[in-house]
Amino acid sequence: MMRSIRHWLNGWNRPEKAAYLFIAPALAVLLLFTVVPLIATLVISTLDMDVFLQVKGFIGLDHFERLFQDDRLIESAKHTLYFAGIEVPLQIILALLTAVYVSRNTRYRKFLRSVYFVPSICSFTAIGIVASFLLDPQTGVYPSYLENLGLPRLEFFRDPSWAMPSVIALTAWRSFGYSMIILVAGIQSIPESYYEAAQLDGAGKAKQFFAITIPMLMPSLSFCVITTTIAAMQVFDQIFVTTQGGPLNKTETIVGYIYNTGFKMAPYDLGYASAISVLLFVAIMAITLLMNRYFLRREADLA
Amino acid sequence: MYKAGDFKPTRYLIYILAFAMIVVLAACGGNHNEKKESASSSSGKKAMITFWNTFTGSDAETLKTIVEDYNKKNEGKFEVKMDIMPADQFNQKLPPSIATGTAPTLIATNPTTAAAYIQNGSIVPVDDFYSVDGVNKDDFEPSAMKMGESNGKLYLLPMQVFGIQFYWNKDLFKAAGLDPDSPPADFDQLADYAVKLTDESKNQYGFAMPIKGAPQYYSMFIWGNGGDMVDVANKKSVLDSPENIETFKWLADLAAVKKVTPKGLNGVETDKLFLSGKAAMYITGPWLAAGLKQNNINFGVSLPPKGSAAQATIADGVGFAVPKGASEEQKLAAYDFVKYWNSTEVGKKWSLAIGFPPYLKSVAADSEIQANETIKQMSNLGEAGRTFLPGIVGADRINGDVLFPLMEQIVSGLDPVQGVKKASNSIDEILKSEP
Repeated sequence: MMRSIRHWLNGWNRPEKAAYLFIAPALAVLLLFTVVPLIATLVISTLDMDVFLQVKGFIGLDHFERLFQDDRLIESAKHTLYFAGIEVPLQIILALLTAVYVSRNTRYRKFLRSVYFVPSICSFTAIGIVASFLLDPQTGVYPSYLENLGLPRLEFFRDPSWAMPSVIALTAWRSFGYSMIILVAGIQSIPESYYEAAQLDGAGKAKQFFAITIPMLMPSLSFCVITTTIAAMQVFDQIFVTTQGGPLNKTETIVGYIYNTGFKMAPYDLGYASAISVLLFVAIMAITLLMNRYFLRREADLA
Repeated sequence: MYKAGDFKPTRYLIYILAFAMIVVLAACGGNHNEKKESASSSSGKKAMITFWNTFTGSDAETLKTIVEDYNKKNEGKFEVKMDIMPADQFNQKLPPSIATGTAPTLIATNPTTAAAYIQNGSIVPVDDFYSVDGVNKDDFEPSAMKMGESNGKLYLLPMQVFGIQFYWNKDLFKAAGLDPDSPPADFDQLADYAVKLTDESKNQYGFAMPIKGAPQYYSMFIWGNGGDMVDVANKKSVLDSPENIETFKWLADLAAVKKVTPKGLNGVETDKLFLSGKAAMYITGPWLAAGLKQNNINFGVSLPPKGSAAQATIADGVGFAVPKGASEEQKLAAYDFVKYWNSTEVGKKWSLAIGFPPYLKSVAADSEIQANETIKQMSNLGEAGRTFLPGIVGADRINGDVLFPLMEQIVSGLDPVQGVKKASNSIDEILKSEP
């Protein structure tokens, strides 16, 4: 008995097998919280099912047919693209410019680095609540500042055409610090000699930035662009806290619509919500793969 | 390299340690189970009644004292553990909790929201409550009991019954040269007064129209002019009828052209506006009265003005329900609290504190209640009381996803004719999934 246990244990103790043991915990988490829900979503999207977990039958691809006639889904997809189309470039440009400035290791610039990074360790919920107070048209500080300056009193989250820009600005402000830190690390790993050589050739600051910094930064930059885009396509918390999709549904995004369909109120259509999730999953995957290919080619060209 | 079979004390130590950790972890889990079991099997000692509701307003304080009193009186026998949460959280937490068998023993909800739960069997019939020892069935107004009825069975036990009311600020009426004691008699007069009472320079509005999170006040304009939202019997939208289009045009003119209301306020924000004396007229439930008295607002309450066809308001209520999965013991424990709530003493306390109309005959007969002007006004709905989309499972969604968004569009000045047509199609879309 003891022998066979020892034999079994020794079998697992060989380096090539022990590796599996080391990745097992991570794999188990991944399986339990990513793969299983993913498959469950696929299955649920073909069922007529509600949040009470009552299945009223298998309906095949009916939900997916419904997707393409759903005006509200198309609207929410437009809002999501609007958000991603502005927020991602804004955040990346902001992060890039600040990263270039704060990448040198002086004490003041290190301090600035921390300051810019602080918002991204705060939760969006907390930030959203504070922002709603600050931007409230009746009692907020910023609308009243605007009025004191003789400008129109903007209604930010309450105005159908200003709500999304307000959310975009809020998101860029909170998240650019994270991209910035990654870019700073990238910039610091560019050898100083490249810049020296460029200076000898008479390149100015702008020329150096576009001819050396950007190309050398491509791996970090592409990582930032891709992760930021994925996050932007899944935007939810800041909108849920500040506008709840309003006014006039102008800030309802795809994830917001999934939440409203599946979880908010009767009839709690979990099947249809899952079908939208599957569509979003496919869309994000397609966008990510396309971007990845583009960036890989750029990197290959530059190398 | 290790050589198999070598005696390695440290290695055994590691095995022992790992084994010990597994035992400890398993014990943690086991402990948890045991605890849960003992809680439910301790019927001999104390029964826990977990109670979820959405009384987040100023009425919560009174509710808490009533629950505390109950717990003190029943020490060692029953204990109510109350969890008050906002309505959207309630609607989001309850379904999964029922699906996973972790539902509360008792909930308080309105008939509109309950329809979906009744339809899929997530709340259980409670007909046997009225045969519980000490419950006097004859003391209840039949209309209050009927509120919880569906397909011949009872699902909700009365907690409170009310009508949606028309409030006006008497001081603002006086200041605008109107008779402070007579509210507008019909819709035309309401529009007329609303314009006179609006003063943008003072941030003062004639008639406040919220665009979400409020009672379905738009329906009294629709009903008042002879229209309806849904043909309940045939489960079809009748929103785009000619009379409704006229009603919405009139509302649009009032809100967007005459600008008698601020844009984009939800129910809580509109309450605040009226409570701070910045709105002259407002339609909402009886819960506002307590706050108005506290803020020393000189206000009047009446039924909403008449329309071209009728005078209508929403008769609504809140009832106790028992979610699926409660044991027979838990159900009886819940009944005990419901019985306590529906005693004359508690009913009177609740009515007086909040201003809710009594539905227990013994409370209505009380001299203190009869002397209270506000309660008297709130109690009398006459012929006007109507139910919002009775028995429609998607009623909350039609209200929240279609009709209030339509009001939002109208208040922000979009075309009412187009809006009504589109909303009517959306309602039909939602009604498709009705059982």
